[in-house]
Amino acid sequence: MNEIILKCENLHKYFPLPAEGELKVLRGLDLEIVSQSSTGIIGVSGSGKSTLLHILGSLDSPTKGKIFYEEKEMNKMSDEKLSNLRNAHFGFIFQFHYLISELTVIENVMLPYFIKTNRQNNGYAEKLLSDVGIFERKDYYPNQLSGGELQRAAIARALMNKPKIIFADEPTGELDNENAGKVFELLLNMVNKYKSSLIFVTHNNNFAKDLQKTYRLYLGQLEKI
Amino acid sequence: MKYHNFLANKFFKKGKRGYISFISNISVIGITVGVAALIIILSVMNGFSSDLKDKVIGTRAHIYLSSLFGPIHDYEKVIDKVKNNKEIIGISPVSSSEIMIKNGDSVNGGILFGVDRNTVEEVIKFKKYMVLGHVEDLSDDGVILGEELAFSLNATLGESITVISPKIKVMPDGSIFPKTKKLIVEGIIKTGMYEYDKSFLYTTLKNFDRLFEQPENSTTAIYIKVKNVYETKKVIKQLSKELPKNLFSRDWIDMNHNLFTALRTEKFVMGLILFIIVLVAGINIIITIIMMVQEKKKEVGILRSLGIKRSGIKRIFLLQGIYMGSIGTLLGSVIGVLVVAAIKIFHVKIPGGGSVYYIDILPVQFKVWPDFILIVVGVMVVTILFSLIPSAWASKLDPIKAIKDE
Repeated sequence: MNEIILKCENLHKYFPLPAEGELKVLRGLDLEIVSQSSTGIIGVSGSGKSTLLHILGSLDSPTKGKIFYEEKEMNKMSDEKLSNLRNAHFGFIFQFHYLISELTVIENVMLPYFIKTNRQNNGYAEKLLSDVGIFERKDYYPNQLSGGELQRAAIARALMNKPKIIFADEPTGELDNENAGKVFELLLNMVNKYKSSLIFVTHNNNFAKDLQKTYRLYLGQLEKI
Repeated sequence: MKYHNFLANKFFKKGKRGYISFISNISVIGITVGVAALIIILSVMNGFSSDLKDKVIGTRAHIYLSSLFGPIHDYEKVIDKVKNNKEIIGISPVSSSEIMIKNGDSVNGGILFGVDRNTVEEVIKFKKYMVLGHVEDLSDDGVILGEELAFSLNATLGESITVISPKIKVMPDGSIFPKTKKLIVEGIIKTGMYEYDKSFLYTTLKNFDRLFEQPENSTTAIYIKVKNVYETKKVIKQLSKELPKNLFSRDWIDMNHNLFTALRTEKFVMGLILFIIVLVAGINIIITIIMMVQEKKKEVGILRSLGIKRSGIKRIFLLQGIYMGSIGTLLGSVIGVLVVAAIKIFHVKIPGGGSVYYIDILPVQFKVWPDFILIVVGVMVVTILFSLIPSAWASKLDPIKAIKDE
């Protein structure tokens, strides 16, 4: 039975404005993510989708509200614990691939495992690269890959430590329609195969139909679609 | 290999582009030059100091035993009392007094030493420094002159010179004359110490006693050589227990205190000035790492999202500084040691030579401890301390801000 692994309650995020006052991006929203699920968050640009994703992924902190991961309150965790959480339980895919340019594709994919254990694991990284279809590019550097290939490598890296949740922040935003579709499909397949949950942030409504749950972020609140 | 070492290596080898690479190279070169200069200059100063010490110790005693009141009488008894001390390797009576020397129209002041031909080699290295003649062949009417003194008196081997003692002779008519004696030049000594070679001359103890009207078996001092020149204080302490209270001892360190203190101070100041080069290179390291962090902000954000802790980020950038410092220190050490070795092997001559510095060849002495180790440790400490500042800043970067700023 699928259980709630990530939950937020009454989440607020305000950013101070240059002159005075503050920009209220998130205004007391609640959300529950169950294991092995796919959740879409759509909304117009600037609606706070990425901010929400970063807070849920512990890369940013809320102004108010609570976030629980497996019933443990993330707000109370130390920076070290949050780092361990991101490394071992979360995977991130951003709009840009954000691979490390000094590392080869396989070194990039292996990096989360290396950080976790101080050991390299070529076998599993090669398997993931085969699954995303760029095994033959494993020894290439990021600047030798196409946009689609880079995002495939980013997907493989996000899955390296068998995370419970993948946070995808408009990973198809920089791709043409054909490649965007392929990368989205690949991401869904991979998440299903490796039994992770997916939180997919996009402004493209077309992807919503393939996700189990979809929310629209509007005026700092989530509306279920 | 740990992940931060792996990433630091990758960033160090491939992560520096354009201006950062240039500044990084300048930092490494700065440290290389600083370390090499420190090794070379300190080795040369050690060489000078050691050369000077050798000359001082070679031509003078390690311990001077003298009496509070006039000469030491029955010095043989005193020698018998102390010669069994295990630390003592040489002992000989040496009298000395200031005199005037005359040869033709040339007149010079000097210090005349009266030495015991049979035992003096135990305390003064005549064999090493004699350029003409032998101390064993010194007759009771003979004298050995310092080379500079011989030049100044225009005296050569076999010639006779007149020594004028401060002792006075009263003539039957009541007039007073200083006591004089003609001595034949039987040897020339060159220690390399200008002061010594310009003013020292040696005759036999018997001759000295006659000239200064000292009773037989007396001497103004007993020269002592010990096994370890740095343990003279210990020997002095032992001697003071065995000897009568009217005898007192001083060692070569006390006698040359000002000279060696000046040398030590000079070496310290030189080291300090040269270390400024290292500090400047250290500041370049700070700048290099700040620029690297600025350029690698995005990577810092990515690595934080992948779960690297703040301490891990700090370590990655700290290692950049340590790599720069280590390469510079290694290169500087190799260059410094090679230059020191070359100076030693090829006997590099000093411009102007002996006439200016009274030393022909540049002396060098490479000391692993304390010089080399302190240089390496000092440079690495500076590198680490200077690298900590930008590394700590990198570790505090907000991951999302770092990514968004790109």
